[in-house]
Formats: sequence, structure tokens, C-alpha cells
Amino acid sequence: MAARKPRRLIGAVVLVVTMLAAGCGYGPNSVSGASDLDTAVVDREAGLIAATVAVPTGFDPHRERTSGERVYYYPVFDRLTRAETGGKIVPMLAASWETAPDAMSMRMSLREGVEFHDGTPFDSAALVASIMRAQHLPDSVVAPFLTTLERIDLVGDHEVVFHYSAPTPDMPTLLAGPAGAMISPAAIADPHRDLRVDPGTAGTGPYLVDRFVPSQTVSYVRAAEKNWDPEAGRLATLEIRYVADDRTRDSAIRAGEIDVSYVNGTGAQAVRQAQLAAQGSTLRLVEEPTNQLAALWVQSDRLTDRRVREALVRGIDRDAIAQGYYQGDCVPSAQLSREGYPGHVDGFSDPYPYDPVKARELAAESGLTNFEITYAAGREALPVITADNLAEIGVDTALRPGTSIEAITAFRTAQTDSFMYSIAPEGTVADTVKWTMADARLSYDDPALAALAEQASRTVDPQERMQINAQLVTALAEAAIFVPICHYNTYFLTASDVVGFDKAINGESQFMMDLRYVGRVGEEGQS
Amino acid sequence: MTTLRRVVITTPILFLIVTFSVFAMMAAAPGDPAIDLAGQNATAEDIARVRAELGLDRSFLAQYWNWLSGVFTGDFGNSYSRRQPVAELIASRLEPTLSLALVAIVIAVVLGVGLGVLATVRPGGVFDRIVGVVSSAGIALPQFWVGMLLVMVFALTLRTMPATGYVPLSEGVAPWAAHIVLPAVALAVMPAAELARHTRGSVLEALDKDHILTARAKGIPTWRIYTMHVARNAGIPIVTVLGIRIAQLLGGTVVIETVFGIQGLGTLTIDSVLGRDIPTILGVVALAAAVVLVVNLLVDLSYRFIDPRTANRVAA
Repeated sequence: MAARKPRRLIGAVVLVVTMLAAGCGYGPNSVSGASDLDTAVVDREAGLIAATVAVPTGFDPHRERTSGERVYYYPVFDRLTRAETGGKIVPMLAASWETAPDAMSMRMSLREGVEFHDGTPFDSAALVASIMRAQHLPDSVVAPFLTTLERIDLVGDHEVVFHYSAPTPDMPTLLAGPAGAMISPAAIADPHRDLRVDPGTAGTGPYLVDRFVPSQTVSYVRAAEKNWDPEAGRLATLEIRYVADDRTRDSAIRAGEIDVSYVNGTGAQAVRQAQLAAQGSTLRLVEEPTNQLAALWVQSDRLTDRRVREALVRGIDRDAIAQGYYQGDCVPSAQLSREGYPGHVDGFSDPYPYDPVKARELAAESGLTNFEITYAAGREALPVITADNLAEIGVDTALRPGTSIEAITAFRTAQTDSFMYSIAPEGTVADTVKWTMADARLSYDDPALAALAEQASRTVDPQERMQINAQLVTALAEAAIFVPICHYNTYFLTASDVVGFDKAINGESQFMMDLRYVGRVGEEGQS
Repeated sequence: MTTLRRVVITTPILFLIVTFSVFAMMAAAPGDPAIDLAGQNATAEDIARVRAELGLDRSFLAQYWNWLSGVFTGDFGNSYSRRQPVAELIASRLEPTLSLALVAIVIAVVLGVGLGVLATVRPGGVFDRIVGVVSSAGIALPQFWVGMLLVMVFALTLRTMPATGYVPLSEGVAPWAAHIVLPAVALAVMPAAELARHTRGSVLEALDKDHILTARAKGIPTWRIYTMHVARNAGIPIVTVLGIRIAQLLGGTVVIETVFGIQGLGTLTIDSVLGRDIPTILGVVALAAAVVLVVNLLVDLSYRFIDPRTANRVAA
């Protein structure tokens, strides 16, 4: 009789679990099939919850602490232009623009009938107020992108002319980022407004921030008035949560508690997990290429011997990393820009392909025996694999983790030999080189490269521009100031009734998304 | 020395030791909060300005004294990264962690003590052996693994429980309970297992005492022997283990809150340590030290209720 008691107990537990399973209702609701934004009947009363690894720390585009803040302020602040996948620049608050043949000025027409949420009209004066703020705010982080901007002339209520001190053909590209974010002049003039903690009604975007819990979550409601962009603001409510742990996001979307989840593409395991989750379920895996390059940035001011840097480039097996560790989720590349993005050179010949024998010789010749890699804590895999590669060529590598900002600061202040960095090119290759040399202070001083980058960014003729860009890409590779590894793809899991998500990602970087066009299929399904 | 007097004397000493140690450790650790706060595009001047604003350019002792003198007036300082008072920040994160810890304690006590006592009914029997195996597993299994397993079974397969998040009690008991059960069970497994083992051992030891054998010989019912005699003898070691485990539960919430996506004190601690947010870390540590003190005090006081002879021994 005694032996039966445990069996009864187990039976009772099983029964209770089964009853609970039958009686309760957590998990995804039944959804209709995947649909495209153009053909779907969108439920404008629906809400959506997204989870990502970007931390909500503020909303001020001109004073962003990290680019991760863009995920949170893009639904609120529109820019003058917008970058689509592949880097194509399309109008946003600017209706059209025309760059002068010498690229010393640009005439821009503005969209008419647009108002900020506080009622201030968006016009030429509002544009000037925003650009002046971006350029002159003492702690502006976007001022470096506007260094050539001398003045803006108001030609009409909705027409302006940008004047430059040097040819600036890429200004429309630069205005697709935070430098081109338009903020209400009323908010700019108010000394008590801190846009970092409360954007209020200072934007023209489809959503207003309803609740902000720093470093946790941001809730939005659709702005009451009709948005200038009829395609934007398809949700009644939107919430973007910071959920750092990959598994927690994965569990949440599988359980139907969130509708969009960022999948960590820097770990093949998370991508495989997401692929499994999407198989035979109501979830959809969205995969897009990005222009974000995983690269080992080498302190060329410290490692001045070119042979040392060449040994590092030749000693790291990018194909093995891309195919082995990333299992094809990251595309090996010897140049800054990915195929299909501005500045990519077709038929580029890598001057220093993987050659461990030659790398070992160069390391021995130049006396390279010890090396340091600084990296953002939590992203150990790539530094560890790189250290293993370098061990094979006789180089002993010390790994130094820190927060991402600490790691980059250690590199900038020459406290370390290298920095494992994933760089998202800013516009063209030339702009990125200038940005990395000057504003990002990724510390390398090469007058020839600087001159080429300057020439490439100031050249107006497309054919000539392409040639100089090719020279710049080659010179960059030969200088071996960084070891390009591979371009990441980006991955998101979405509920299958989420539509318009393809427009939310533009390949700028892995976690970047702008949810303005995202909606949900209504009860009646597709039209 | 009475328990209360001991607590009054040791509290400020413990507070100073703990907070100074944490402050020293954070100061010695690599990294600079000013660098993080100034942002990724900051210049050396920007970083220096932020450092001066935060008072990080002052000496280590001056910084600590500045923080300590604020505490005397009830000001725990402002969070570096969140730009809000630490006390307010901790208060906003307290409910999820408190809920989690309290429910976990209840589950641990009910399961641990219950299974431990039941195992002694027939020592060496099937149930006793099952309890032994289960409690060994409970002690050996990492909490995050148990949490993930629970999510997989109950949230993703059976779909009876939510996988992540927390709903405040003010929004209803049912949604609150639904969100707290799985993380609380995951947090309770280890202390429950340990309590089960300690309870079993203590009860068996008490059952071997002469006066218990005498009571059995007299024909006193088993339930009465357990409640009147065994509980008094076995209670003190059990309560002592429980006290230690409660203090350790706060550490466990760091892992469990991450697995279940709960924004409580555990996740606040992780974020603050990673972001070098020293005022927030000190605030959380001060709170944890206070909890440990209160728990120890309650444990000491409970000895008198369990076995009044303890009070007599102390008084003598």
C-alpha cells in the first residue's frame, strides 16, 4: 500500500498540470498569415510591444549618448531625409533637394502643411532653428557632421538653401541621421525643456511618448492629429522594451507576450534558436543584410610598424570566423562597405588575404609577441577566436573587457593595442573614414588617407567620385589600420500579424528599427 | 547583552563596513562612470566636465563622506545613469523583488519543511529516498536552469503561465500571482531543498531523544509528539538555515529577474554594476544589509518562541 502513495501523488500532479493547461490561456492569440503592408487591412486600434537590446536613455537626437537611442526617438522626431535599405536616401520632411554642380550649396524644398505636435508650423524658420541647435549646442554630438555648413538662407516659407565652406555632396545622407532631426522651435526656445527625459510635443512623428521608464521601457500613443505621412502611425499604442537577455526575449515572443523581438545576430546560437521558433509557429523571422562591419580596430599610432598590422590582418581568418562561428550569418568582407551599399568596390583585390605562414614571418620580423584586444563585455566570442588565430602565428593576446563606451575610450586614449568594434559606416566610405579619423577618434594619423577621403567626399562628378572611392578603399586596406572581418545580418522575430516590418529596418546597424510604418492585421485579415 | 541592544550596536558598524567595502571595491574596479555618462562621442573635456559634476574628481574618502553625510539626512544621492534619486529608484523596483522573495520564502518553507518532516515518518522508505534525491537535485541545479525549464514547460509548452514580466498587485491578485509563481518557484527550489534536508536531519535527531521515546512509549499520538516536542528541538536549526537562505534570496533574484524579464532590484543591481552607477549600487547594498540585519534579528527572536529555554540560557 505504501508504494502506491507516491504514484498517486505523481498522478495528482499530472492531473493538476493537465487541468491548468486546459483551463488557462497564456500564449499567442491565433493570428492570420503573414501579410504585406500594401495588401493588409490594418487594425488601427491595435497595439504592439517590441523588445530590443538598445537601452532607452534619452530622446534628444542632438545629444544622444549612443545610437541605440534612435530606436526610441525615431517614432517621435522626423528627419529631413531617410535612408532605405542599401543606403538609398529618400525624402522625409524635405520634399526634394538639388545639390549645386560644385556641391557648395543645396536648395531644399520642404513638405508643406506639416505641424509639430505643439502646433508650431514646420517651415524654413523651424528647419534653421533645428539645424542651428544641432550645430551649436555645446554638447551636440552631431555638430561634426555639419562642419562645412556656413549658413542657411531662407528663400521662402518652405524653401531653403544650404551654403557650405567646402563641397558637401553628401549632405542629404547626413540629414537622414540625428543631425537632420527636426525639433519644434518652441521647445528649443524653452530653457526648462529637457528633451533627453521628455520629448513632449516637440516632434512631427507619428507617435508621442506616453511613459518613459529610463533604462527599461518607453510607451507611445499615436498622435491625435493626422500625421503628414498617411502611411505612418498604424498602431494605437506602441511599447518598446529594453530586454538585455537573448533567452528572455525569445521566451517572451514565443509565449506571445511581445510582438517583435530583436534576435542577437552576433551569436549564431540565437539565430538558430529563432529559426526553430519560426518553423511551424505563428512567428516570422525577418532577415536583412546590414552594412555593420565586425572589425578589429588597430592602434596604428601605437603599432606604427606596418609589418605588425599586416601580420594581424593576414593572421585572422575571416572566412573561418564567418562560416564557422557565425555559420553564414555574417558575410566575410575585406572592405568597409558591403556589396549593395555606397562605396563598395566590385572586384576589389584584398592586399593581405589570410596567410598564417606569412603572418608568422611578419610577426617574428617585427617583434610582435604580445597583443591586447579591448572589447565590450558580453561580446567575448570574436575576441577569443581572434586571440586563438593570433596564437597560431606566435602572438600572445591579452583580452580586456569593458563597457562599450569604456572600451572605445581606452582605444581612443591609446591605453590598448586594439578594439573589437562593429562599425556602421556613416554615409559613404569617405565620410566614414573622416568620421573615424576625426570625430570618432579611432586614432590613426595618415595624411595620404585623410587627403583621399577629403577628395572623395568633395568630388561631385559621379564617375570621378567612384574612382577616388576605389583608391580610398584600396589605400585603407593597404594601411591595415583595421582588420575587416564580416558584415552582420540583422534578425527579428515578429508575430505573423505584424505588417510593414520590412520598412522598419534599413540595414544601418543590427538593432536599428523605426517602427513608424509597422501595423497589425485586423480581424478581417487581408483584403 | 539583549538581542535588541546587540542589533543597535552592530547595525551602524555593519552598515559602515559594508558600504565602505563596496565603495572601495567600485573605486578599485576598472572603468569610469564619467566616460559612460559622457557618451560615445565625448571629448576629454566633456568627460572631465561630467567627472567634476559628479564629484568624481574629489578624493576617494571625500566622495565616500559626501555620500555618507547625505545618507544621514535621508538622501542616498542621485543615480548617475537614470538622473533620478536613488531612494525613488529603489522604491520603484522594490515591489517585484519583495513579491518574488516573499512568495519564494513561503514556497520554500512549505515545501522544504513539509517534505523534510514527511521524510522522517518512515526513514529509509521510498518517500524518504525520493525526498533525498529531489533535494539533492534541488541543491545541485542552477537557479537559471530551473527558471528556463519552468518557462519551457509551463509558458511555452503548456501555455498556462506567462513567460516574462511582472504585474503589480494593484492590477489584480490573479495576474500578479500568474506572473510571480514561476520565478518564485525557480528561486525557492534551492532553499526548499536545503530546508528539506536540514529538517529531515533535525527531526530525526530529535526523534532519537529519550523524552521522545518516552512519549512514544506512553502512547502519545504521533502528531502531538511532532508538534509539541520535536518542533521545539528541531525548530532552531531549521530557522537558522531559513534565516541564512532568506538573506541569500536577494542574490538569487539577480539571476531569476533576468531570466523572467522582471524589472526589480536584481536587474537594477546588474545594470548599475555594469554602468558603474555607484550611488545606486550603494543604495541597493544598504538595503540588502538592512534586510540581513532584520532577518537575523527575527531569527534570534524566534528562538525564544520555539524554545523558551534559550531565553533563560541567554539571561543566565
